Amino acid sequence: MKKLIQLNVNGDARDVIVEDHYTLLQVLRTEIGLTGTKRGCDHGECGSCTVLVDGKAVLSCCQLAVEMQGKNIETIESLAEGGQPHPLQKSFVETGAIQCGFCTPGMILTAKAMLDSNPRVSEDDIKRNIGGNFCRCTGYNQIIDAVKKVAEAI
Amino acid sequence: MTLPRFTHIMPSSLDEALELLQEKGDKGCVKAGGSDLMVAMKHRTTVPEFVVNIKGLEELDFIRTGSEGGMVIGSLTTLSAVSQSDQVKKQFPILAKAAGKVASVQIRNVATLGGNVCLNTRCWYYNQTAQWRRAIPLCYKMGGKECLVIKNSDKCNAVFLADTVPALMALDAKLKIVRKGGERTIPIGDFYNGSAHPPNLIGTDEILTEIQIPEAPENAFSLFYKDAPREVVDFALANIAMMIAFQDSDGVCKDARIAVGGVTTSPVRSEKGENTLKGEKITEALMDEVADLVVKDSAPMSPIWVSPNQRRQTVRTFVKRGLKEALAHNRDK
Repeated sequence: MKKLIQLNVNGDARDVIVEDHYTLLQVLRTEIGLTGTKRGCDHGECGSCTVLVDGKAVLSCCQLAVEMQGKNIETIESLAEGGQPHPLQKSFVETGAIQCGFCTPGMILTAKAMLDSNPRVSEDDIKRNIGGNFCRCTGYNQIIDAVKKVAEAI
Repeated sequence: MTLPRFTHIMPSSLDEALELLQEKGDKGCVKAGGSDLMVAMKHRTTVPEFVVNIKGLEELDFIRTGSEGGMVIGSLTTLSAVSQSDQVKKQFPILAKAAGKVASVQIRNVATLGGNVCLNTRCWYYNQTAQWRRAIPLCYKMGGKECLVIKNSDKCNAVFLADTVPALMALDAKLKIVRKGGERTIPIGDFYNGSAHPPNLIGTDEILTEIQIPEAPENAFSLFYKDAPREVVDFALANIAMMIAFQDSDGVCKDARIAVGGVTTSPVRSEKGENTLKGEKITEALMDEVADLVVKDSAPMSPIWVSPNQRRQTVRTFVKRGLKEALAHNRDK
C-alpha cells in the first residue's frame, strides 16, 4: 500500500510516496533523485550507502524509509556550501583519496560523523571508524591521510 | 536487492506491540535495529507478513543502576550507546568492549543489545541470496531434511556469532522477556538450548525487554577476546569472555566464569573449566589444563569459515591469555 510520508533530507522537508518495504536508500536515489548516496552490496556490508541520521552514520540500505519520519537525514549533497567543497571533500581531492569515487560519499560521511563527535582522533580511530566502508581502488592509505589532514586542521 | 512486501506497524507502546505480536502469531516479526532482519528479508530467508517495528519505544532504551546494584540495560539500547557509556565502561568493561567489537560503526549505531542477544545463527549456505540458494537443496534451517555443512548430520550446524553474548554470560546476566499477560526472567545461559535452529527460546509473541547484570564479585577481573578475519565488519571465528575472581593477591581463584561463542551452534559456558579453577592457585600447568577443558566443553566442530582445529587453537590461546592477564592484574592491584 502506498503512503505519503515526509522526510527531512538535507534540511528540506520532502513529501514522498513510498511503500512499507522501500529502503531509505531506494527513496533517496529513485524518489528524491539524490544519487550521491551509492548502492553497493545493498545488504549492510560495504558502507557505500552511508548517510547521517540525526548526525550518526547509518547504512541507508538497511533502514526503512517509513521509519525515518521526523529524523534529520544528511547525504553527501549537503556538504558543499556556497559552491565550496567541505574540508573533507577538499582534502580527499588534494590527497588523491578518490579513484573511481564509488566509496567516497560513504567514506566522507562516516569520517564527518566521527570528526563532528570528536575531532581529536588517532590514526587507529580513523581506521576503526572507516573500517565499515570498503574501498576497492586506492588502498585506504590516501583516505586515512585525507581524514587525518582534516582532523589536524580542526 | 529489494525487500519483500510486508505491512509495517509501528506500535506506540510496549503493550500495543505485545498485543500485535499475539494477534499476528507466526505471520508477525519483531524489528528493532533491523541490521540482522533487513538482510534476512532481502535474502528471503525470513519473509514476515507483518513487521512490528519496536524501535520507537523509548521506554526500552536506557542504561540504569539495578535495584540491588549492578546494571539494567533496556533491550533497545544501541550497541554504540553500550560501548560508549561511561557507566558500562566503568562497571562492566568487557560488555563495552564486546559491544564495540560488533560489525561496523554504522551498524552499531542502529543495532541493539537485545537484537544482538537474539541474533540468528549463520552459515555459508543459509546467508545467501534466494537465487543462490535455489541451486542447492533445502537445509534444516530452510525447512529441509539435511545439513549442507556437515553431511549426514541430524541437525542444523549454523554458528552462533553474537559478540556481546559471551560477555553477558561471563557477567551472569539475566534476560527479562515479556508477552501479553505475562513475563519471565531467565539466566542468559538458559535462553540458548544448543540448537542452531531455532537459535534461541523466544516465542513469536514475546519481546526481550531488559538485560539485567548483577554486581561483579569482589576482586574480579573480566576479559573479552574476539578473533575475526578482519577487525571491523566480520563475524567472529571465536570469541571468549571470562570473569575470574581471586581470594586475594595470592593468585588463588575464588570464582570463575568462562563463556565461548562463535565456535558452535550456541554460546557455551565451560563448567568443567570453571570448576577446575575454583579454589586453586592459578599456575602455568593449571592454565593448560583449563584451556583444554574449555576446548572440550565448547566443542568447536563447525568447519564454517575456518577449520574446527583453528577454532580449538584460538579458544585454547584465548583462555590461557585471559588467565595470564587476570593473574597479572591481580598481582599489580
